[in-house]
Amino acid sequence: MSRIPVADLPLLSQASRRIPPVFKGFIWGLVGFLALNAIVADMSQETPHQYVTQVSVVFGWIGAMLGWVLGTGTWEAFMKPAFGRMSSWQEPSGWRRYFGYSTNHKVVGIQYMVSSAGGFVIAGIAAMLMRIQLMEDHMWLFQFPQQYLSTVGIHGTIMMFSVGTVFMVGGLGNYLIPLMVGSNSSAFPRLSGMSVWLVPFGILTVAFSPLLGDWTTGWRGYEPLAQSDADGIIFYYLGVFALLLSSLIVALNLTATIIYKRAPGLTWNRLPMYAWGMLAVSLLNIIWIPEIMMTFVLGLLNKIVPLPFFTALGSPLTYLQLFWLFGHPEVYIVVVPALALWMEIIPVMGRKTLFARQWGIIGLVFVMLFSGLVWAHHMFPTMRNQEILPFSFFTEMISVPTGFAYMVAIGTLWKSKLQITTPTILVLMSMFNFLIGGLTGLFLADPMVNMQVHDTFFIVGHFHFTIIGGMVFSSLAALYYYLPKFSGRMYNETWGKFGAVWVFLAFNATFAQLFVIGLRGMNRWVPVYPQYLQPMNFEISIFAILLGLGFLFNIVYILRIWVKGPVCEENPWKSKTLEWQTASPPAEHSFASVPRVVSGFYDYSDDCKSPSAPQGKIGIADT
Amino acid sequence: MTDHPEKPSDEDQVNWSRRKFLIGMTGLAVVGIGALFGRSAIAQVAEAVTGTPVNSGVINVYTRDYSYTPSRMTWRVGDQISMVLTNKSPNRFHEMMIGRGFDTTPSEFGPIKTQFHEDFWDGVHVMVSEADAVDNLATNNAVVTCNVTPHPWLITAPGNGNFSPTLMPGGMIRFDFTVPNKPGTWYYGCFVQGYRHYEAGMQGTLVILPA
Ligand code: HEM
Ligand SMILES: [Cu+2]
Ligand SMILES: [Cu+2]
Repeated sequence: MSRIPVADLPLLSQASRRIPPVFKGFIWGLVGFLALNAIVADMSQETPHQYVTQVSVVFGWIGAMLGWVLGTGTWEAFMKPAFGRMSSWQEPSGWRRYFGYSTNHKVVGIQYMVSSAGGFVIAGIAAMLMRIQLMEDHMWLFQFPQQYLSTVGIHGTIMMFSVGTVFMVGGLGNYLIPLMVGSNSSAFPRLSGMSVWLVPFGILTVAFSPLLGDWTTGWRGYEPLAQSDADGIIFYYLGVFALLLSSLIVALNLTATIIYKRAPGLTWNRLPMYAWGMLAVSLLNIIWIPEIMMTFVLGLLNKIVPLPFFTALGSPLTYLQLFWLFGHPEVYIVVVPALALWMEIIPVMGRKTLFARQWGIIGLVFVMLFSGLVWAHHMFPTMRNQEILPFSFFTEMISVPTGFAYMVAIGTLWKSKLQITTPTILVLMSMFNFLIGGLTGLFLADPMVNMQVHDTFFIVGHFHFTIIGGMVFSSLAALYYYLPKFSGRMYNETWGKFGAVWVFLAFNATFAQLFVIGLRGMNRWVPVYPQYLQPMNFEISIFAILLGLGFLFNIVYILRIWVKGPVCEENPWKSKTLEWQTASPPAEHSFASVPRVVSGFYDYSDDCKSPSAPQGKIGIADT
Repeated sequence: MTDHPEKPSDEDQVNWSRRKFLIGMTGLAVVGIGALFGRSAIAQVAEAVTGTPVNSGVINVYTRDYSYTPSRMTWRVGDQISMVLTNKSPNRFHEMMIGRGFDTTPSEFGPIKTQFHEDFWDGVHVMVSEADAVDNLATNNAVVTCNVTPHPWLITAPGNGNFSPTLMPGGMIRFDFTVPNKPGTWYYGCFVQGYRHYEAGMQGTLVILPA
């Protein structure tokens, strides 16, 4: 895309007159909030008049969401044409296109990744605040326990719903899946151009929830506990609602892309592993996100109307059941993409054919199918023994399909010619950490142990090992692996490995200790604790801060390379999957002509032909 | 395939300036962080500029989960006031104490505040003229006359905590009094559930102006 310099002068003056779409989004969002909030608040009969009430803030928030999404470009690019008027949307070029509406799946993918990384930083700052508070055994950073609990809730909520659920699905998925299936666009490009803007909106809603008051329920928004919270819980329900809506749209888009946009010859047998992973995750999302969104709506109504669904008049335990019915599958929403990514990177780095590919797919799909059977293992203390046992059994059983995926990775590593690059060691680290998370999970599935360690830092250690250890390390592996694809630039192996080793050591030093301190009696959700736990908490906090700095180092380093790293060849890993058959970074239209797939992608025996062939100039499939 | 046919060509492209963008983004971040962490400071500044009106006559005060509306009031010594206190919470009891300083009781987690040390209502004549769904009224050292019969609530004798009406969900009480000669800054708060409501933000400031 070249711009014509002759037009420079008029361009400049016009330039200063155009408002960046994100600012327009903010302004329209503000107007939307003020308008709807004012209308609803005006209908309230009270004197003295209150401008922001529980009900008015909900409507105001809806107005803000509409204003924000329309203002960032949806109005000009989507709504106007829908009403039959000409689209007045001009997509800017260069870095500016990332700050507004776009229908290009690569731009949308990067927008998702950057929003998600922003959430990671905000929630990471919250984690640091918690760890600083826990360095002493009394209130000192925070004044009241509610402030600590709000921070825990903001951390957990933003991490789960904007990082865990979003980075590898909305981010990598949107970027890679159309490329992987040999298509120039996703199935619903306009829809995803819109949905990506819900992510920053949702993150900010949750991050600003303390403006309405502290809430104490953690990332689960538990009713009826939430009933006794101040109004901040309203922004929890609403913010998560926006984030989930975005993920639901991603799921619909990816499923349709994988089913309908595959290049000729790309049969289900040849579909890349990451695409299988995205398909499994998207089906999980399509099943469970509507369920949890409705639960949150019930929670909201329970608060603002108020309706007695989950109070003593209603059914207090129902919220827990509804939440964990989604909550456990959520864990797989986070981890399945990571497993799929291992199977993508290992064969390339090991120059070896993927081992037992079918079993890997069976593993991913069965993890998906079983995930809805185990929710009650989060509620053992509320259950009778005969109810506990089946859930204990199912929980232990789900490790079997997970094990398939794991074994595919190990089988592929076995006797391969492994190149020790940064993505390789990050995948190996991820496998190591995830193994610890999985093994401690077996203990938790065991009722006797569970009763002992329930709601202690043992649990906190367990799930951080699966989520950070599994998903975040894999995401870092993906970032380093695909950096040449995104940017056409290559990182430096020494610095890459330095960053990887840094986070690995700091991570294990921090979270391995949580198991021990949990067994010694450190409870979750408490900012003050008995004196004997203080030295160990202090030390954990020091390592946690080192870990935070380690993540910061990696993020800054990757951004630096992205912008001005040394240019590299287009397919540095000599990978055979389709996304690497395009230019790096891919052109506006990734494939000049639609490729035709003639064999699977994972055969790395030396004399193997390329698995795809370019088609004739016209790009029409002949099969 | 994703292109709109009407999409403007490259020459029409206009862009915003980089500097405006950076300044704007930084500005938004600063405003946001200021709002999040400095909201009470901002409220105080706004109040110093605009001031609060002197309340007299009938004053409505609402208790909510966990706040008072209004959370600031100004009264003048000698004014005749009818305060109507209404509990807007759908499911929680709330009270209103007015005073200064704190009485505390020790606990595992450090001292817990139980009530104000100095009770604003000491020696004040208070007449209760209307009441509904009141859980109890602690009179302490106020001189209470009650026009509502029979008492729908429990009246707690002196020595059992600051003067405070505790309202059931939806409850209300109206009491009339003359503002005593106790100028200065006072605070009101709800200490229900072992100080939890107070911590959660259920507090307010009362300024008494000299006559
Ligand atoms: C620097 C890295 C991190 C540190 C130091 C950290 C630390 C903590 C701490 C101290 C808690 C609260 C424990 C309690 O009092 O109950 C917590 C909770 C939690 N963390 Fe992290 N965390 C980190 C990263 C992450 C990441 C990357 C995720 C997910 C993607 C995550 C997800 C969660 C969740 C879901 C909770 C539970 C929150 C709740 O109970 O509501 N954390 N973390
Ligand atoms: Cu689970
Ligand atoms: Cu109260």
